[in-house]
Amino acid sequence: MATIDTRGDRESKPLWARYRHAPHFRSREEEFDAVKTGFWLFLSTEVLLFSGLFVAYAIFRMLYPEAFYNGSRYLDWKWGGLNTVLLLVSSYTMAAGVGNAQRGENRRMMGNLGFTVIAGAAFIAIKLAFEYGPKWAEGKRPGILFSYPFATDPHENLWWSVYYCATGLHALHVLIGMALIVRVMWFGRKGAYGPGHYTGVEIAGLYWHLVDLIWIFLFPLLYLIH
Amino acid sequence: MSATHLPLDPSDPTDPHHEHAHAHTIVPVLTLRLILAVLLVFTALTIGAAQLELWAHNYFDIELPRWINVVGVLTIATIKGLLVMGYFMQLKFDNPINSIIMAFTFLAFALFLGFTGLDMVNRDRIYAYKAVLVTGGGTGVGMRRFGEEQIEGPIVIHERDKKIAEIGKEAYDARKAELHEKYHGHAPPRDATSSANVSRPRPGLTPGLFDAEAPADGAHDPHKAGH
Repeated sequence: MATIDTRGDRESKPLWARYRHAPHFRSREEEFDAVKTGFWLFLSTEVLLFSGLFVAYAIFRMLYPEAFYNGSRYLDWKWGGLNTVLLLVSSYTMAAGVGNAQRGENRRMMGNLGFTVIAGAAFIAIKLAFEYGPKWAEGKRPGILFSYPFATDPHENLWWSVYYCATGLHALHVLIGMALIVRVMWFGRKGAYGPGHYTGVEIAGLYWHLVDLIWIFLFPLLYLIH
Repeated sequence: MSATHLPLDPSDPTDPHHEHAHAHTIVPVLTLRLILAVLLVFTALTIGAAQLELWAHNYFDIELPRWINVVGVLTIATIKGLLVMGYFMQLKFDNPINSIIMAFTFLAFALFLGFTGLDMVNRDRIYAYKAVLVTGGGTGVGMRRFGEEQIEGPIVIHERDKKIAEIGKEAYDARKAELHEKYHGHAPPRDATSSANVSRPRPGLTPGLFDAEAPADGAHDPHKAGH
C-alpha cells in the first residue's frame, strides 16, 4: 500500500512530499503512470457501458423515428444547453485544478475543485427541478409507468425509457464524480496533493471529464436532433 | 547520489535513480481557457445548427432532410469530445497507451453499433424469405423457391399438377402405378409384425394386457410375476 511517511521531518515537509509509492513500483512516476493507465482501462469500460444505451437509442430511433421526433420536441434545449455549459465550465475548472496541484497552488486547487462540485450539484438540481420532476408529473415516464394521455405516437414510452436510462445513468455518474472530488478536497485541505504526488486529483479529474464527454454526446442526441 | 555511482542513464528503466527522469506535462492555463472557449462556441454552434431546420422551414418553406442536422450535430459533438479527451484529459501529452486503449474502445463501439445497424436495416429482406420458406412446424404450404413465384397450396400438390400438365393424366397414372409397385408393392402388410423400429402388439400373448381394466384376480400383477 502506498503510504504517507510520518517518520522524520514531519514539520518541514508537506504531506505530498512525504508520500511514499507502493513498494512494487520503482518510483512515484511509475506508480502514477500505472494508476492512470489502469483508470483509462476502467474509463473504457464506462464508455462501453454507455455505448449500449447509445446503440439502443440508434436502433429505436431507426425503428420508430416519429416517436423520437416527438420525444426530442418534449425536451427544452435551453435547460439541456445550460447544463452543457455547466459541465463544460466545470470540466475546465477540474483541469485547472489538476494544473494547480501540479504547481503546488493548494488554495487555488481547492477553489477550482469546489466550483466543480457546485456546478455538478447545479446540474443535478436543474435536471430534477426542471426536467425529471415536471415530466414525471405529467406522466412522461419510461416503459410501463408511462401515463401521458396526449402522446401521438404509440412508441413514445420507448423514447422515455431511453431518455431516463441514459440521462439517469449519466446523472448517477455526476453524483459519483462529485463524491470523488469531495474526497480529493477532504484530503487536499491538509496538503495531501502537490507537485510530487497528485494521483488522486488526476483520477477524479479523468472521471469528471468522462462525465462531461458522455454529456457532450447525450445532449445533441436527446435535445437537438429531431 | 554518492560519488561511487555511475552517471545517470535516463533511458535505463532499472536505474534506481530513474525517479525524476521525466516530468509530467503541465498544460498551460491559457491553453485550457482557449479549449473551454472553443467548446462553448461549438455548443452555441450545435444549438444554432439544430434551430436551422426550424428556421429554414418557417421562413423559406424549405424542408431540410433530417440527416443534415444529425450529421452536423454529431460532427460537432465528436470534435468537442476529441478536444476534451486531448486537452482536459491530457491524452495529447500522455503515454500513448492510454490513447490506444480509447481508440480500441471506440472501435468496439463502432463494431457494436455497425453490426447491430446492419442487422436492423436488412431484417425486412430476411423476413421476406423466412415468412414463406420457414413456417412453424414445417407445413410445406405456401412455399417459394429462390427465383420462382409463390407456390399456392401444398408443394406436393403443386408438383403433381405440374407433372400431369407436362405428360398427361394417363401417362402420369401409369408411371405412378409403376413406382408404387417398386416402392410399396412388396412391403409387408401393415400392422402385421414388429420390427426394430416398430413394436406392434400381438393380441393373445398376454391376456388382458390391452384391456381397459386390469384383471380382477391380480394374476398379472408385475410385482408378483416371475419374469
